[in-house]
Amino acid sequence: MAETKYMTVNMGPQHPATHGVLRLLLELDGEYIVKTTPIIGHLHRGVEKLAEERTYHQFIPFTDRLDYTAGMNNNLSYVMAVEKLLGIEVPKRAQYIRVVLAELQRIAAHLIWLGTHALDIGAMTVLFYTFRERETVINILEHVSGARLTPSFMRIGGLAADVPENFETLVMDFVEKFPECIDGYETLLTKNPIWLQRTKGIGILSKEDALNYGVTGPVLRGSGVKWDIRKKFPYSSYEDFDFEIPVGSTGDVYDRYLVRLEEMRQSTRIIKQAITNMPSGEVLADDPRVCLPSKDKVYNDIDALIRHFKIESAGFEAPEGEVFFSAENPKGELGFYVVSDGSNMPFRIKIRNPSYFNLAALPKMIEGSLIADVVTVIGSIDIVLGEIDK
Amino acid sequence: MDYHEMVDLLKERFPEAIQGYKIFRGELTIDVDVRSLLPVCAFLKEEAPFRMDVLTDLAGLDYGPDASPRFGVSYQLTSTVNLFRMRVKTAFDEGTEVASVTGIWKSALWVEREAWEMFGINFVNHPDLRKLLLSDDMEGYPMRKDFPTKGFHYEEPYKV
Repeated sequence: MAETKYMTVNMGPQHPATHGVLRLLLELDGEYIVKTTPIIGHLHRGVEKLAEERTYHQFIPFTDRLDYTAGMNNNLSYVMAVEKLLGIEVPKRAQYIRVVLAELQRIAAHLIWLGTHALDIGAMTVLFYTFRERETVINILEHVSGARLTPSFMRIGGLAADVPENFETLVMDFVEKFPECIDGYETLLTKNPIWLQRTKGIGILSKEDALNYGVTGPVLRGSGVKWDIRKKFPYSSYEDFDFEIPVGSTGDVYDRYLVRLEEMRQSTRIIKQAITNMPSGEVLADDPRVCLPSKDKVYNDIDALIRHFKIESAGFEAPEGEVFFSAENPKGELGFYVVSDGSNMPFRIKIRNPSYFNLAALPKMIEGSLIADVVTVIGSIDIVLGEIDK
Repeated sequence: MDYHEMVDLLKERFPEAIQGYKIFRGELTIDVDVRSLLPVCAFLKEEAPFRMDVLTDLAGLDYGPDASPRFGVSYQLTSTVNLFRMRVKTAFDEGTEVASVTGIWKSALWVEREAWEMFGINFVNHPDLRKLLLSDDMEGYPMRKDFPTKGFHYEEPYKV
């Protein structure tokens, strides 16, 4: 008997289908994968270390640059972790606007995923349609925050500003027509025989493995676990809205595709309800220790000017203790573990980044499958390397 | 069952291992002796009323060069069965062997590697303890409090 030798192939870090700088070491038996070793860290910036010498407010812009396709959601998760540490109650209007912005961002992130995922598999047309709709969403977010990808719009205690006057009509126009667009993408893919052959039964992750690997988000739901932080541990008034959690059955690439498409439909439902029942009032908590005074007050009132200067330069002191808060991001559960020693800077911040845990399950998903399916499975777990590498 | 009853139950089962607990902002944190970490975690995963089936996150901690015990590990656990979250914490000095929980939750595979490379926490029985985010030639443990943010020798050009 001849000795069996496996061939080792290096995939990435410069590979268009790895969605960033991900390197995979593939051990191959012919066309079949025996073992996969993901090598990450090419984009490591040491965000957690940087957080330790910045005030709580100063860390907000760093969160945008984790998952750069979902800036609003990252902001939300971080500011809510700090609000939990401080015990601040956010005004109802700010909570509703946060929900609208987070869901719009979720739609934008899922549209990037759908376009690039289909492109990876070879369906080029979808990208043009998804990016057309994404542009509308990004324009709305730009109208609100002034930035397309890195909004930094959330503040500890609320929002940087109230939304512009025509915000509600812009959003309502979009969510009225968007479900039809999703139907349009479905006509291109859902029953397309090539799409079915490339995605059905590929990259299966069982329910038990999904939980054991700590996988979250659409990947977990694709494996048939009905788990969504928005429902299970509601935050920012998500308990007020009526929406479904889509789940898959087999846990393959096709199930994850269906789950994400349905999530976009549910997001439009949430946005409609939030806009219809939008409360009036303030968008920043009335907490002089933490929240900046309005510009009007800063220019006309000496106390407000002093307070503004104090919060901007020295920040605020958080009570001693530690909290973990996580929110449902487009990629999964994004959590912030914030440890405070009572000073104005966090003692330690640990980011629970969803793509990182989802990618750790990749070797399990593609074990024994064909090398051509690696790209399909990477696309289906929807990774962003900026978030994985921190 | 409220937090106090849960802690009592754990104390009854592991009288030596449970060193204390804290409830802050509705979150339960239990301090566990580093030597009994593995049996406590296995118990928390399997037994009612805990059934913590997901290890959501694992964080290394450094309390500074003068602190004793200096290091810590914090395990964030979630039960999808009982809709419940809690945290297990352990503290120890440099060089102490910390049992790897990869046998209980596979999600610890990468986070333990990260805590090892960033803090120098010595996990034993981890199947694949290599650098994860840092390059192989990186020296020192960057997340330690005595490691400067700029790094050492930052003014020297990188040797290729």
